[in-house]
Amino acid sequence: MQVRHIFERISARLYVVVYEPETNQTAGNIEDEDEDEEGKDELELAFSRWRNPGWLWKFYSKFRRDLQEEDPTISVKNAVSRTLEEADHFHAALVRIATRGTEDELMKLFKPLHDREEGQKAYELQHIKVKQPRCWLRLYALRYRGGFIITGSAIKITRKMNHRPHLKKELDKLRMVQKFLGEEESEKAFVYLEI
Amino acid sequence: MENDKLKKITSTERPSGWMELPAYKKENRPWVDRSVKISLRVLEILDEKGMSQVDLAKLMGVTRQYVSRILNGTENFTLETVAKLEDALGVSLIEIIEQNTSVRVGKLKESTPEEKRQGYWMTIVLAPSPAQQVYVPLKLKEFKYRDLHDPAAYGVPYENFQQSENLLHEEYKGYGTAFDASTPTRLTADEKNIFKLTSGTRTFALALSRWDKMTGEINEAITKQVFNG
Repeated sequence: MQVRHIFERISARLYVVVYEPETNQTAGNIEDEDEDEEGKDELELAFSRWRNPGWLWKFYSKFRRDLQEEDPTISVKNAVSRTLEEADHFHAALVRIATRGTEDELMKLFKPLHDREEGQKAYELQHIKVKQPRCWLRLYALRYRGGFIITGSAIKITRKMNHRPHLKKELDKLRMVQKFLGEEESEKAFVYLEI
Repeated sequence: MENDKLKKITSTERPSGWMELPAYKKENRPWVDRSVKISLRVLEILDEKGMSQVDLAKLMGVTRQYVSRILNGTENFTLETVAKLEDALGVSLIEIIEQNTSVRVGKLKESTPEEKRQGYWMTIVLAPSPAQQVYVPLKLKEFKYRDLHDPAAYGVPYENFQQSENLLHEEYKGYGTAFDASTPTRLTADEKNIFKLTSGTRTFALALSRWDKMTGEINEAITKQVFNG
């Protein structure tokens, strides 16, 4: 697993990571089957997956049990349709913040990962009330010197990240970028974005 | 960000394309939305039939990569592709409602006392056009088994009704005759939960998948197809 670049993108305070191809390739993961993902940064990957009915169908089929536990009445088709809509809302919100939002809005948009997440206890964390608890889309970022570096994304159905490999991998990616950046930063923290 | 280290490791190779993705969708919204609907329907059928994308590719005579593009919801389908998909899956993905013959399904309501006296308990309100409404009274929960022995009276073979006994929910059972003053109209049901409304020389097929007894709203009721002749 290796960071290839960190792109400056959205604003002076928002960056996104591009990894070496093998970082996003883990045997048995949904990501393996998409041939067009190489070279994409993590934002491109997030929105191309969240807007791809075929990818989402495979994902929700794989995690059908999690889906049923979250909402026994929801079908894979409904979950896919809803995610397609939510991805558009998510993207629109991010574009608005990126193009017209203030620094303060950006700081408020990202929420600290909750201290229930294993391994995150060292950071200053706070409980954030989720506005739309049924939205499962997440962008993960590292807070770094007053800005944010987006390190990955996930569809998070289960409560804790270590419960599923694809979520655990996002934690690993956060740690990897932290390590990539080198020296210990007092204000460095793991955060996530949801709409 | 005033961060020299980050600036040094920030690539300038190419811009990120993340903003363009939905912009592309917005620009092409009319067909992309339809493409996504077709993708979802195809995925649903594959799931129901236990078929893989490779199976579908073989049946269509295309590559798996092409099937993958179809299922990504970004394929601007040609009619040839749609026809191949329909043949491979054995289903219709696009149905044409002919102009001036489409039927909007309105409410299911309780029949008037006069209609009840004639044995019609519920009425579907159909609107072929805003200016014209067709009322189709239904005999619901009033099936007499012996009635089904006379296919001529109801327009479908007895066998179909017999099959439908198990498939149709109680509320969906029924038949009726529209009180359209100018055109003789008849409503029948088949074993696939499809109600056929014959009006003059045209037949509309209606699928009443669910209706709310409290409000009378027909949810998910759709006009499936129009036959001429």
